[in-house]
Amino acid sequence: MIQLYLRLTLHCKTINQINRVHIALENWMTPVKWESLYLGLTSLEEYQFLKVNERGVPTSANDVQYAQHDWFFRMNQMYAKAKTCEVAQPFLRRSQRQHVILYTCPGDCKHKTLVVCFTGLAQRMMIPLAPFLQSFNAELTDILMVRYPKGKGFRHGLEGLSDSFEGTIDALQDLLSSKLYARTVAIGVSGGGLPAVLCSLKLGWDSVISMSGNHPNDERWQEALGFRLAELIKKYQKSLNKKIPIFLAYGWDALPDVAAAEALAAILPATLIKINPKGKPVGHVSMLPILMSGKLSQFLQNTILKPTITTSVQVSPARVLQAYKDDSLYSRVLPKLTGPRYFCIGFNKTGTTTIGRCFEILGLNPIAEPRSPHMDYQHLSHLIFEYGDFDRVLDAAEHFRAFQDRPWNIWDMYQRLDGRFEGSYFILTERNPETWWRSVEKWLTVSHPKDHDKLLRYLKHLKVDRLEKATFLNAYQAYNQAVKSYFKGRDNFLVMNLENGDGWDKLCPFVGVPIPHVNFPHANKQ
Amino acid sequence: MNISRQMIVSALEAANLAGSGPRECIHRFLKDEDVLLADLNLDSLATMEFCIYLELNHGISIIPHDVHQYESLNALVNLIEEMRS
Repeated sequence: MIQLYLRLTLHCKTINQINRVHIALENWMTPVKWESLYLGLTSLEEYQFLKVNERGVPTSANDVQYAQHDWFFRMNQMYAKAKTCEVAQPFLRRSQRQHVILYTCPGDCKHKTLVVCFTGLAQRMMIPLAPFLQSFNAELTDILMVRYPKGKGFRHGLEGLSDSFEGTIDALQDLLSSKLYARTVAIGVSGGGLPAVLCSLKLGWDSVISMSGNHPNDERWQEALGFRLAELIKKYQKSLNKKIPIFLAYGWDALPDVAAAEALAAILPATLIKINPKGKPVGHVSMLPILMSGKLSQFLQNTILKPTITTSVQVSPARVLQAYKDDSLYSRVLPKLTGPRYFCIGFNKTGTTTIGRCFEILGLNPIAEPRSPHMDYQHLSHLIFEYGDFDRVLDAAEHFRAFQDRPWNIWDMYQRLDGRFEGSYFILTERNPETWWRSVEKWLTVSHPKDHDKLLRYLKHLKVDRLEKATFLNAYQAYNQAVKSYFKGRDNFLVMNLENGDGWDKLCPFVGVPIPHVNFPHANKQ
Repeated sequence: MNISRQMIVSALEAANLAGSGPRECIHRFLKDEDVLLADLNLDSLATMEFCIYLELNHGISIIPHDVHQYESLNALVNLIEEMRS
């Protein structure tokens, strides 16, 4: 490696020339090669300045040396973050086809998982190859890298395999048919996101994650296929005889990626993963902040590598929270609590946010609600809506004192909360059905007219199939009635109607605290 | 389109800009509109590829650090015009 590096850089006189060499090496070096280069080069007297623990570069250094130092520093930093064990993962490169490379550690693949990786336009998995491979255990996984064909995209097939996308999937299946892996999963980044999902659906792979993938309505796909991509997705989904866990990750601030993930999740049952490292910018390269937080390996474990499949339903996605909530994850930041909990179990648009502000004023913290930085209410709701997984949500509740909005007011959740948290307090907020309907209708059709996902969540929550006054009202009233019947005669249950003027004088005696010297709040008044 | 604009378009294509946003920006730039660099989502790798292309194919030496000193593509066009004159 040292000889190769010295030869490649010998004639580099400019920063751009050296950067070109470095980019090529980033996309080619396995963990072993990187370690060999770094350790070897920094042992040479004239390259001592590359050691990242040295303070800066010599004042006599030229521009090229500065660029070399920067690159080694950055690479070493990324590699160190990916390193979960002392040794470099011993992946060997085995070219399969022009755009298909297998990274493997020789051995029986019967017990291994094959990770099929679809790169983006930059022909890599958003990060250099060495830290990416180092995030896997070479004893347990093989990595099949499928590189984005420049200028054409996967939608026109892959040279050496097929000139159509569907033909390419069949060719990939043939390519893999002789290799009997225990599991096959897929990761796609950027332009490789949709192909990863499509291949997984068509070939029935065990799990897939798309990171900052493209929009399913991308017109280039329609041009290549001759019909809408959504139709192909639905076709594959229909022919699939099992449910596979699908994860869609995106940077919180990359609006096109957010829209793309949400649009795909509207077609497919998928778990959305918002990458938000404490509000820092993420952009399109959503894998990088996970790597730099030192949690890429864990993230992969918690998503594609170890989802537990029961007979028909996938039940483990709550683990995903552990990866993407970073240091603000409730189970790490917030200890498990003992003692009573305070649940506002009224339906949305009945004053639940106001009750949340009351909890805050009364010091009943931390509060599990949509604006909490410590939980993702949509993800928890998704666990219930899509997988019927109440247990994970109840586990999350262990870390909070007070609760409002979804997922705490979904279906019969109040009964489950009552069972788990003995001696807790339950508040049902309600309002006149007519004004409730007007508020909900305005929320869905005027305030968020194009938010299909929001509407879908309401439909799932109410277990109805359309936005219609009578249907909504029936479901709303049935829920309130069921709650009242369940808690009938119990002194840990309170009904509040904020429209009718219920306020501190009703709430405070119920939860056993003095009335505070501030006005009763009114949040989201509509 | 003048040759400096064409160079930039080619360099942007070589930079593998991902996503529909940057693609639309390039279309606008091709129609002689100006485009803010911030709208192109040039990450560090893409900026390097952009500079490498300009230098290796056209002998225009701009380094990644300098690219971000300019606000828009038209400003880069002016820079390239100066360097070529």
